Amino acid sequence: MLRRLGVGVLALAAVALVAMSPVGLQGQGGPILLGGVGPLSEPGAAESGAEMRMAMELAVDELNAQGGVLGREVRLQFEDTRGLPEEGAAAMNRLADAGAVGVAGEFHSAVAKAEIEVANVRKLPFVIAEAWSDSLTAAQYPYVFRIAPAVSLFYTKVADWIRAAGFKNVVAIYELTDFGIDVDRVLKTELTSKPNLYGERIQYTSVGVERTVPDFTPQLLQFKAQNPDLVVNIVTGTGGYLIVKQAAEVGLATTRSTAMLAVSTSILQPEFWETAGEAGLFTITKRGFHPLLGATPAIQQFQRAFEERYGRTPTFAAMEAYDAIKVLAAAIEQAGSTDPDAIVAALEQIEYDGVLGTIYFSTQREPAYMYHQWPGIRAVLIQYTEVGQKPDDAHMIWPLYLKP
Amino acid sequence: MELFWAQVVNGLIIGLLYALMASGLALIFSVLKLVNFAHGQFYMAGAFASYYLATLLGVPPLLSVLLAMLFVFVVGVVVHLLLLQPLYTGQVERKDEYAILMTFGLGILMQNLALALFGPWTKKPPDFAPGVTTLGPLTLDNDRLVVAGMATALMLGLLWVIGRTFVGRALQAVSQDRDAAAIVGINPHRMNRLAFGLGVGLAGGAGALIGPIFLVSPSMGILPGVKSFVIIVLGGMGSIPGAILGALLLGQIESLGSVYLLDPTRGLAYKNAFGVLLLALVLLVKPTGLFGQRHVRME
Amino acid sequence: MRADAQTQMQTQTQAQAQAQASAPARALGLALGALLLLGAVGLPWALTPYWQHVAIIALYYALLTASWTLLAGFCGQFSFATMALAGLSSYTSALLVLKFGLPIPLTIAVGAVVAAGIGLLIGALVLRMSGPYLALFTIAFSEIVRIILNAEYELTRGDMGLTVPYLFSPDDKLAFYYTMLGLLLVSLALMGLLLRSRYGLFFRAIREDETAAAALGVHVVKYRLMAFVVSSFFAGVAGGFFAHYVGTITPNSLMELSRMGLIIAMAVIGGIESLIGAVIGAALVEFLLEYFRALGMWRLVIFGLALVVILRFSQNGLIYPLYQRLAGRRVEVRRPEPDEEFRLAEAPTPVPEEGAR
Repeated sequence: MLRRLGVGVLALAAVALVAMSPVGLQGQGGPILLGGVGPLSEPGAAESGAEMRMAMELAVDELNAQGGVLGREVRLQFEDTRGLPEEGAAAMNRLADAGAVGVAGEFHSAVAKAEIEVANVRKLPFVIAEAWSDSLTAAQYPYVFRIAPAVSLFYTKVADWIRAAGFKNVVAIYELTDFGIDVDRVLKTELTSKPNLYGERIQYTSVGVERTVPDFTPQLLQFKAQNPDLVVNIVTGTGGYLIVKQAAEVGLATTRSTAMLAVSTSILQPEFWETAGEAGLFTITKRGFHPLLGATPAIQQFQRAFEERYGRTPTFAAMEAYDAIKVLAAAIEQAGSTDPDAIVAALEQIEYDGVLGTIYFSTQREPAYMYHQWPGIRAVLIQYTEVGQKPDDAHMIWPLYLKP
Repeated sequence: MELFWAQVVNGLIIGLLYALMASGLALIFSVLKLVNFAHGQFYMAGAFASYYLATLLGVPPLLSVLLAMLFVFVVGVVVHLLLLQPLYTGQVERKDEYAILMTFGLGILMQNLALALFGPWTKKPPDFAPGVTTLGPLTLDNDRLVVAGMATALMLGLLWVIGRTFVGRALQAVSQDRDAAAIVGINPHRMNRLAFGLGVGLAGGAGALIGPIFLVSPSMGILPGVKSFVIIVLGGMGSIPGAILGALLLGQIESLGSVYLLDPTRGLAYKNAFGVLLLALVLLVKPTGLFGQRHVRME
Repeated sequence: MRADAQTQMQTQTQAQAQAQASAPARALGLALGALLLLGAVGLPWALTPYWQHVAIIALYYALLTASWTLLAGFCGQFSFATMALAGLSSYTSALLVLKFGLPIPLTIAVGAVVAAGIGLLIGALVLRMSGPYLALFTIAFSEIVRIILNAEYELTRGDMGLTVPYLFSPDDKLAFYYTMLGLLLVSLALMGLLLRSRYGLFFRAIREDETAAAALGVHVVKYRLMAFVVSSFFAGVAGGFFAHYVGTITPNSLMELSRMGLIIAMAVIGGIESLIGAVIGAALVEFLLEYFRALGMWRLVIFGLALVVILRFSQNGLIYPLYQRLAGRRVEVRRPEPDEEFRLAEAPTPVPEEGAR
């Protein structure tokens, strides 16, 4: 009895081992495997990760409809990184083992930071889609590229608006993550070092919060006592929605005297209205693009295809993820091979007309975060003027000269 | 001063919800003599039940809260039959260990099950009453007012059942002495089931009430669970009035503490730590709780 | 009378059970052990880098699970602070390297000592508590640690993740694997020796019945503290190593309460009264979780269900009790009969130098 059991266990173990052993890697002529990484479950920002995966699947299907890359079929393997660094590192290793020739994606900077280490060690070209921390490109790893703007690159432009709009008493509530702390740092330096439009000194107060807190009311009440004219909400995911809602409930913002600037990408998703409802009216948020900046056929085509397939409007993160896959494919095509160094060389040369604009990667090393960074991002601020409004229909308030 | 009162009112509303949840935990402890480490997950179950009742079946929001409580009550009774009954029929050695591991394991199972069934997405149940009410200098969210009212009503109902009805007295009798209660003809197993079902039902009610305000997700129960542990220790483990007082106290500490206690830029980051810090202190200084009885252990 | 009492105690211990085991059963045990060891040494050569990574994580969990088992399964102290202590050691070690440039092996050792120190503190604070109170306190402790590490981001970089120098080059998985395997084997040997010594007996006596153990002259306070310190130390070793293996640590990834649930599931599946069982349970669960990745969240449901069902029908877990039965050395861990208990309580202090002083 025992012996039979032992034999059974050993046989099972042998079968499992074969599955885990380094055989059966991708040969020439077979499909080309591209990797996707992003959060699909908690504690990660699962909504955004799911949308990035949708966009990537769309991109891959389009590539295959056009005959694939190098005449070979393209396959996507998307790995859930759960917003945890070690899960991200594991996912990258899994993709490298599976024979992926390039990886696109990621949303959380802390996770991306673990992923670029693996990308570099395992020579895996990695196009970061939606992780903003300066440090990712500042590491200057040869295999790492980024479409999302570096925080410094983007938020200096947002600060320009805050000064130009004449705000002088600004309060900010930021999440204790790479993203939140970076944005807080950039805004603090930018706003306190220069005066506003009227030559007044800007007062900037900020508070860090843990992402798991669902009740921000005590802090918002405290802010209300300070009579600010602008509340900056630097919390991603549902926390960002709840701040908008609770700020309205305590009578802090949006009111006649106080505006709400919510900078998380998730404010652009339809879920925002589901949670915030009436309270979301007149919220100001940022985008990396706007149809008024040039409604290229690429954007329209992407939006139409995305809406048709998934029944929802794609956000900035989806566009970045889509472009990341497409730019990888274009680089492979241009390199004429799946050799990682050839792909990197092609990415450094590439000029690809994507949804977000013409994508290319800077090779300048100063400032450090510009290395392999796409510098072409635009900062657009919009304000919702109706409940349930789509971002495209919202009122564009910055830059001023493109006012509709 | 206006800020102070605004904080007090906010703390009171949150405290009432804590009280609803914690009195359930206290009820379970007083009768079954075990800490239900899955309490936060029953809270989550109530929130999901209410969400789906309201959105899929179109049940009116307040009715869906009551139905969700009923659902969680039934789940609790079944869980007790399947997993906890052996504790009281002499099938288990080392009862404390079994109770801790079993309820903790159950919590993990429930949370993972919710994650697999409903996905990680946070969900927003419909509001009870949209809009805000202005009371002098205070602006109050109508949802929170409704929730506070419901929580108060449910708690008064619980106190009435425990204090004034036959079932309540039977529960008290079992809580004080199982064997003596059995002698006078009370079936302690039935009372156990009832107490566990009622206790987790109250947690489910709290979850269902909080849903529209703090949103519904599989991990929503973890922190409230930890907080209700804090509260029943504050209130002296098995005491329901103690739990209610402890909950109101914790509500105030969190609300005022995150503004006045620390450097305000830190306050919100530490908000969830106040309660557990208090728990650690109470356990060290006066383990029987602020209003407490002596240590109770399962025999 | 005195010898009699000691025999009574020993019948309750696995250590004694193994000594009494028949020769063939012992040979079987040795053979299985040797096979396991050989398998563990040879394993990474058959794996892709990714599965090597899984194997390293499995070893990390194995050490954590064994340290929890020592405290819970042998001493009956149900602490939920294992992950928090491991995490504290991770941060201690990482910060010592980053701020003071100390060599990594030294910082891991310091991290483990710090964890042991905090374990001692917890042990001392909870002396008057038992059962659910201890569990409540350690859950609270874990939450406080997690919140503080998140909030003090100037020092810890909070949820952004602290970038930690690697122990070896990050692609040298074999070096990490054999280092962790070595750490695990040495730790297991030390814990095993401790449990086979008479201290192990005292731990067991405390778990079975604290009052009776005290009446018997076992210095309950001293041995409870000892169990806390030893368990925390080895959790600290695991945590320190982990930091310098993954390279980025965050409080949430180290200390989510569900991680503690994973450790407990591993221990229960392995059998909570055996260190080897804990190790097998941890490795098995970690490999299966990865292997069935395609099932998504459902695999966690299955493990949660397994945890509950196993607990329901076999309080002491699965694999080790199963092995005992297969090897024909089923030893019921039983409560003393009433008259035995009487004799135990009546017995004079068996080992006077261990008595309360």
